[in-house]
Amino acid sequence: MSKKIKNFYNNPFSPRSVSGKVNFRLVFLFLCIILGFGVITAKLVIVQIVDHSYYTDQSQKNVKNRHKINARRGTIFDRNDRVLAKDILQYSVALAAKRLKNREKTIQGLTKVLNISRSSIEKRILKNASFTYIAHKVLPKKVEQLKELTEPGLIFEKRFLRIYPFQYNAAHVLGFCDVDNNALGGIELQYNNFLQGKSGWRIYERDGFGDQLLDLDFPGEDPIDGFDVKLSLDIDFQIVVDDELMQAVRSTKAVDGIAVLMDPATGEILALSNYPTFDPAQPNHSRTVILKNRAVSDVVEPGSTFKIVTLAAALEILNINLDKDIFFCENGSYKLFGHRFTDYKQYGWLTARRVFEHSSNVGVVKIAEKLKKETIFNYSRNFGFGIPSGIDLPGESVGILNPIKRFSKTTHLFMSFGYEVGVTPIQLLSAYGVLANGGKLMKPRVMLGIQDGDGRKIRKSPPETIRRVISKEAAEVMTGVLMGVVKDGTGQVAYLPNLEVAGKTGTAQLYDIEKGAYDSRKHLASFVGYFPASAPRYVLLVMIRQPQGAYYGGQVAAPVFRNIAQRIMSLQPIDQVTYTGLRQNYKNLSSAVSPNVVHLEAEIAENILEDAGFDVEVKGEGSFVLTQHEIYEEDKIVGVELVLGDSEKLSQMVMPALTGMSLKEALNLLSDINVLADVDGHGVVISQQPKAGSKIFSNKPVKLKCKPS
Amino acid sequence: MFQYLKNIDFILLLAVVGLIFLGLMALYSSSHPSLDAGFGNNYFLKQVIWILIGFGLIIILYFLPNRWIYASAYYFYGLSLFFLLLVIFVGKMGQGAERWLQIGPVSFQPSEFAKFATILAVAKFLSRDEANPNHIPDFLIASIFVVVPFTMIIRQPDLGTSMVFLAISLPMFFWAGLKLSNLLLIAMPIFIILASFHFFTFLVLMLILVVYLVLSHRSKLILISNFLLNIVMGLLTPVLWNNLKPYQRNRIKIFLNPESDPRGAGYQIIQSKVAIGSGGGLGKGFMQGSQTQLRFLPEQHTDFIYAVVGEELGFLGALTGLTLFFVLLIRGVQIASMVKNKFNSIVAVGIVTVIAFHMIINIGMTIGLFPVTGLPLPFISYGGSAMVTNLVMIGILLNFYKNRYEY
Repeated sequence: MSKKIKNFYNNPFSPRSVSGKVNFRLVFLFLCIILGFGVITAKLVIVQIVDHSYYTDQSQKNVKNRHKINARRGTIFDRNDRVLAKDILQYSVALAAKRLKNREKTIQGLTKVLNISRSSIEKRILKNASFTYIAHKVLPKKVEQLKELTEPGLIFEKRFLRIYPFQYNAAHVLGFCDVDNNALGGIELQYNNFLQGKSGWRIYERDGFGDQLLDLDFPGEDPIDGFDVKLSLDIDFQIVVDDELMQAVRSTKAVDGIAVLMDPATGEILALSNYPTFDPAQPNHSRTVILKNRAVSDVVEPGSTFKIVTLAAALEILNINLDKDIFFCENGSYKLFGHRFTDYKQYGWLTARRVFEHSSNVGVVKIAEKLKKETIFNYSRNFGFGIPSGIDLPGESVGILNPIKRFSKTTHLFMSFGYEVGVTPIQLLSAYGVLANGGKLMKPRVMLGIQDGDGRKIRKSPPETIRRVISKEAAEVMTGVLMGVVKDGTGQVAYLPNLEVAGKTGTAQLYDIEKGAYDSRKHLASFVGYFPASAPRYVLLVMIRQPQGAYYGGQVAAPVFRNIAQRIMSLQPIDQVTYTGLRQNYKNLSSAVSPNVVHLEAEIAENILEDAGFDVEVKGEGSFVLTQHEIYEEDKIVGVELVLGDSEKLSQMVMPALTGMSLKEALNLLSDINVLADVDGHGVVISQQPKAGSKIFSNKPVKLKCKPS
Repeated sequence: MFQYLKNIDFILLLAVVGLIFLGLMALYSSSHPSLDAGFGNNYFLKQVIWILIGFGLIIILYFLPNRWIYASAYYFYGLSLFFLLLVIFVGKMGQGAERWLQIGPVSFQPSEFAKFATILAVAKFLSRDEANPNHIPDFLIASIFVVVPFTMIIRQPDLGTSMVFLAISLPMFFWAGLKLSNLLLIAMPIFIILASFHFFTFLVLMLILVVYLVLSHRSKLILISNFLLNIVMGLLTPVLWNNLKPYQRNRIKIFLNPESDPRGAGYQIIQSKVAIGSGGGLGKGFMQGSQTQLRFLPEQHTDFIYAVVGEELGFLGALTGLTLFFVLLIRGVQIASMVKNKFNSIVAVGIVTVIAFHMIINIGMTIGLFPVTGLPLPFISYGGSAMVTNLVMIGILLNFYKNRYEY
């Protein structure tokens, strides 16, 4: 026998052996395989063909009875963990009257807890006795009370409501969702994958009465809550920027305005504001144009603010001496290649420094004539123009930077003072960030980190240097020039006695596409700069489109810049302020700013100022500070004059944003400014009337709506 | 160039490519990003990367000298045992999933690798000229090759995968010359255990066994030991069963009849059958299956992916998959009978068995023929280790085909 096997080995495995016998092992294997496939195919035929209709019914039942369980959308925080957007849990309460165990007790409980009239409940039961909604947006606390009734006929459905505690503030950064909670803009859209979480599901079987019962045979899936997103925004700064921009756009009767505040060292956006703005909770109440975040999507011809590109090139390529090299500014009108370059003011010979300080277009063109068009192009590109800034907000535009081969003879000359080039506000801001950051371009960003509900970090976003654009020395020299703009040049309105500001004005005529020409009546007034100039911590851009009346950047945008800068610096805790020797000089008052005491009670204000070492002069009568003015002697503050008024005059004050605060905080704040409150509910303030930013009439109480958090 | 092309087995290759294509379709449908507003996941892309790696290995294996595979068989086997040991060790350290081993950024399942390595080792042992699986020493040593990884994997615990090792050994022994009568003798205890709950059946089976043993002229030692083994198995099983704790008995009952547990293991099978059954003849259409898209199927990208095929592509799609498998397996057996080299032939049968076993158990599970075991469907289910191992085995078959005239 063993010999036979040996033979088999020596002539292994072929279908037929030498003797012509069929290899039975091969046949056996084939048979096994065919048998296996036969069984499976037969079973497939039974399941898919024979029992098809049964399984189709099952599958349709699955679909019909499947109830989606919504996941809680993640919270959006500002850099100090203040809530900017949050899902709050609410319930819809429904009644299945046919299943009611204790009808009388249940209806009594409902009327008591939910404040609904008995008749309206009964009316609804009459309409549909098997399932009827009794109330929506019911708070968890009330549901707890209702659950104590242990009534099987009561059905509670979880719902989430997205609230934006600061309402209008930072609306364009946060974005918004539609009714179905689909993100449509801003951070909500950008990080939707992280925020949305994952919905779960359960199967509910309908019993004979059509009532829904949880089908225990289906394990279902629990929803997974979304991740939380932490932003670089500082809501304190954001409120200031929003407020000042709104006032400016309103007072100049402009079409709209943009203001963005960034930390130049890290590229973190601290505040981003568009006006007109919208309420993220009710985006459909605003026109779609308003929903656009124009700070990243608008492409504009910047005008003079773009001159920093020419200045950088002149310093590094031409080695220009700002105070010795002089240029003839042709008394305001210069003809070249058939084009006429003009200035708003007529200048003769100016040093290079003066050319920039006075923003002479003719002077800049004269400098640009000495530069190659490639140089202008390269510097523009390196400053980040014509490339997306990379900010993590949806809808960013690239801007317009023509390739060199499409340059005409004069393109680089027009570009030298900010025409024939299209930039987004965020690109322009980043470019000024280069000067404030010692020559390095940082990627602007809004998200600081993403974390789960337990605070575990899922993703972090560290500062990102895009490239070195100019040398550190050049950045310092340019900062000097931009400080001169504010001190002696076109940006004097932005001058603050105690804060070194570097900045540049811009006034561009708007191009009318329909007419195909520049409209000499429509302007874009802008001011971009940074402060404190010696160690910049903030870079700020302000753009006002089509102001009525005065339209120069120095007249329209610079004051907004100044106000924001002043308020931002006053928000800083004194011991953190590092600028211009404020600390050392704090006691002897040589060049300090006075603490902002406006709207405080007179007594408190006096105490604060005297503590800080200021003499106080009081004007007017009343218990509140309406305004404050610093008293100077030879450029030094020696005292502060307070104008007092009584609470009625506070009507000039604006209502603070209370939503998102706890009720206690809100009431404290309101009592500080002597406003009465009319409170509905308790917990966290979710809406206020009048809205934040409107004028206060102290005889009218503020209506606050609260919900437990 | 054409010389190379002529030696490629296009039938085998096309069947594999067809299966992979079908698998990618089902994988995309069951894990695409917009799936029910859930998190998107990139299973599809990952799988494509694993497939590319697998085909890279196929090309390498195709050009590898045939003898190298033979020469490295025991080394591979040793390496795979080392990895399995590492899994046990790391698992003891409390690192969580015990089936996985993390090497740098990739984690893989050593048990997948071990299947293939065991085939090589057993084949090498049985392909010696003097080897005869009907001789007890040879049979025992060959069995040890299988039992060692089997015990290491069953304690992971992964019953499904460990069963694979038992399943591949018998056809390989058979192909290497094990007589059909001996094969049945080895398989006898399994039948005895199943029959032991029914006394009459047990009695009949034992009688048949005794008659067979007496008539087959074997040594007394074998006769008696085999008889004792079977009778002890048969008598002990009911006793063991009665001594089990109720929850333990329940587990086994669910294993045997999953529909008795509609929330647990049975749920998957019920939903899988609903998916396949509602697919009907032509299916609900690509990415249109409600069972798949609404996530009624757990593990729909791995273990139950065939249900996705059945639901969305219908009987037509399911049968296409079956046909491709059929072509692949028949072609594999043909290669086993075509090659002149004994080692190559036994390895080919081992490879065919592994793929066939996975396929039958997995598809059988999705249509309710078998309990849930967690064996993936080759070339279709998501999973890097399995995909790469399966493609490596295809690469080996292609290499054998190219070298089919070599002794």
